[in-house]
Amino acid sequence: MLKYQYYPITVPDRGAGGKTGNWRVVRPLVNKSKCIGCKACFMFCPEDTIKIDESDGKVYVDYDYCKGCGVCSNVCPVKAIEMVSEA
Amino acid sequence: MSGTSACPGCPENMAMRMLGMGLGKDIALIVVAGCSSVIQGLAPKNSYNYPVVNIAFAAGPATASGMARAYKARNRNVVPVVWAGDGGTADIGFASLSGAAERNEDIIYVVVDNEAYMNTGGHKSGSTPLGAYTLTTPEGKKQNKKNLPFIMIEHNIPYVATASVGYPHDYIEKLRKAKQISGFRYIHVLTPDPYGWMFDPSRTAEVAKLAVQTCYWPLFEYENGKLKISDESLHCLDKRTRRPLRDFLSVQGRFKRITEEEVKMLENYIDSLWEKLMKLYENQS
Amino acid sequence: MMRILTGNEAIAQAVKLSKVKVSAIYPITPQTGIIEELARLKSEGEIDAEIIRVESEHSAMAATLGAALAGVRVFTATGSQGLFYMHEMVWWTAGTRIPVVMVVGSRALGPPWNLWNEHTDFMNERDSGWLMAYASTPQEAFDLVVQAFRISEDDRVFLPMMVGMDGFILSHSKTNVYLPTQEEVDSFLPPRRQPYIIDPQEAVGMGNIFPPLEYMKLRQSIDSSIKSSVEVIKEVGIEYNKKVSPIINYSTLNTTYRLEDADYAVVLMGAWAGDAMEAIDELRRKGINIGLLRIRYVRPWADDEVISALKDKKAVLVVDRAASLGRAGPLYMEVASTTHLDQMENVITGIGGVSIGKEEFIKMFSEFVEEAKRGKANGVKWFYPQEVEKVELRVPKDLE
Repeated sequence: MLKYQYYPITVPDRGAGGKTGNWRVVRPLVNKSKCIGCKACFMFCPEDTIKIDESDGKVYVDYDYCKGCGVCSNVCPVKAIEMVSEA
Repeated sequence: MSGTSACPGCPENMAMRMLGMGLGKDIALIVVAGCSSVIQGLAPKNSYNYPVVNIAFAAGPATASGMARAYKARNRNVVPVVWAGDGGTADIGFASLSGAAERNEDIIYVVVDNEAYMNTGGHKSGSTPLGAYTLTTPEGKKQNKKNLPFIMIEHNIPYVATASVGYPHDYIEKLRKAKQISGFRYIHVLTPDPYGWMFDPSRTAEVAKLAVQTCYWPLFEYENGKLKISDESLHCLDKRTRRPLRDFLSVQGRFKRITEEEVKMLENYIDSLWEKLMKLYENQS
Repeated sequence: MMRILTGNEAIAQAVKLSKVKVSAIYPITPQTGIIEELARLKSEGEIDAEIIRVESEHSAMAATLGAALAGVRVFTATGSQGLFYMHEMVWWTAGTRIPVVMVVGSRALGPPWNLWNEHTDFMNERDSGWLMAYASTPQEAFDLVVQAFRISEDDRVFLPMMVGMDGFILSHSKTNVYLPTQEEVDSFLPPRRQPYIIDPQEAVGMGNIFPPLEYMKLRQSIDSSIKSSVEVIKEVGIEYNKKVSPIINYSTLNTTYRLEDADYAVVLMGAWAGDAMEAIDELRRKGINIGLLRIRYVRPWADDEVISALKDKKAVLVVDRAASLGRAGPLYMEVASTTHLDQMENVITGIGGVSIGKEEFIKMFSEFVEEAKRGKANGVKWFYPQEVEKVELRVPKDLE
């Protein structure tokens, strides 16, 4: 790529829409003792902010980018994710 | 990748993540105008971890055709994947879609159907269902949605499938299968939009499941002239085992003012959909 | 090798010799001959290009651009309504900065239907960010297409380029065309180069949202590249003359005829330059000191060449085969924004294929010189041929 020309191209990266964790009004809290590691939340999360803890196969949340939509809480079969207010 | 410009609870983002799980890395995305043009975020970044071509509304399938031919000429094993909304598919991009299908171009076409022009704020498209409120049909739409999967079946292409973001494994399996086939492959994914359909964003997956359970959105595959009803929709073959349509309509604000008569019309439309599917199914066995 | 070819056939040969890999084609008169010839060459195994028979011109440009983005040399052709239907993608292509070559067989626009030649369709794209050359003979159309690949793929340019030609007059007339050998073209035209390729080997995204400042910088970068392409075009032209064909001189963007010692100048572009030159010879025999500046490149616009060609003239006549309705001819507006002379006149004529030949030019040029002598060669005129005695137009002011 030539440096002295300018092209309409971009590279894949996190945070292309900003630090989207700031959008949140409610935050998902994972109750690790209830989590069974089924990964339904991981599958449905629109933002790829549900991460798998390698040590126990259970999940945690990337709060830098989680928008707090609550889909994870809704799809959890054992109600291990609770949405709590950010305020 | 995390930190997209999508609204919270976005079904298109769900569908895009699942696309990655189904298709792997050796693809190039062609994104036509729509929510996904915005979701990618701002330069110098892009939240899609793929080579991406953003293109004008009506140009997706033609652009992908050109790319497929170029990869062939360069001996590159790359599959161009068009990513379009229902407006880009049923309306403005329809000629381009039909042309590329008729030529049986070696591409995958994925339509994420949120049943309106949601990126502009929620305006009626050819894929908006009867009775639905949009900003351009404040009185509720008076016509049924265009039946795109059937229209694509009539193009005699090797693979047509429907999916819902409510059933990721089914959708991902269909993507994987499509990748193994060559020629024009069409996958139509229902993506319920919390803002346009007016339900709480936490319920995106739930509404996507309801659409299938109530038989509003049939899941099937049509491969080389053979129809296969997907497991999630098998209960719809018998009218008695279908979940009432009301369960799907009542969770959404866009059907708030639908009349009894319109509900009946919508039910008749769904019945006719299933009759057509069953006829197709019976004729082959 | 000299061959007797139509403009369309000559262009298909240029595409073949330039080793185009993908061409998306859609029929429209008068360029259809090009795509017929490409399809024939493909079916007879003379070219190995992928031919995509698309369903519209919008898709023709989209498919052509798609192939170019994915890394190969591409070509398409259109004209008239087809170019207008394609318009959105013409601009989109320029925005990508990806080299693409297109031929425009120009023709009038409807309604009403009119199949004949004028330059309105071509001139309509001059804000798009493409390089734009306009041929005056089938030979020049051939030469410019081969050069277009080289110019558009130069890293100082990296922009698409269109080559225009007069519909029917060039596209369908058979003339002698010199076809160079494959070796000669190969020595001139290196393998495909482009700024970036859409390929999983290096995941780049093209065209997601750019904020205002970055967007403005992108637009300016196109503007700057078009301007800097002037030097590239001259360089490439000189090399083309040396390695491929010396027949037409390409060391300058535009050409002149008996202009240096002339008092009066005519400016125009396209096939009718031949008739204009004959008219000039005739007038010169009568002692009228007139010469011609033929515009070959509309974009880039060679200010320096135009200024130095016209600077010492008593009066300039710009003849347009297109009109910005309610204003003036586009070529005139280009010239008038480049140089400021006391007397600059614009004639709009040849619209919808109205036939303008040597005799009409003699009359037009003589009238212009007479007016110039009286200091009155200014303004915009619509010119009809001699046999049209009186043109009846009804406009609102006639009713008063």
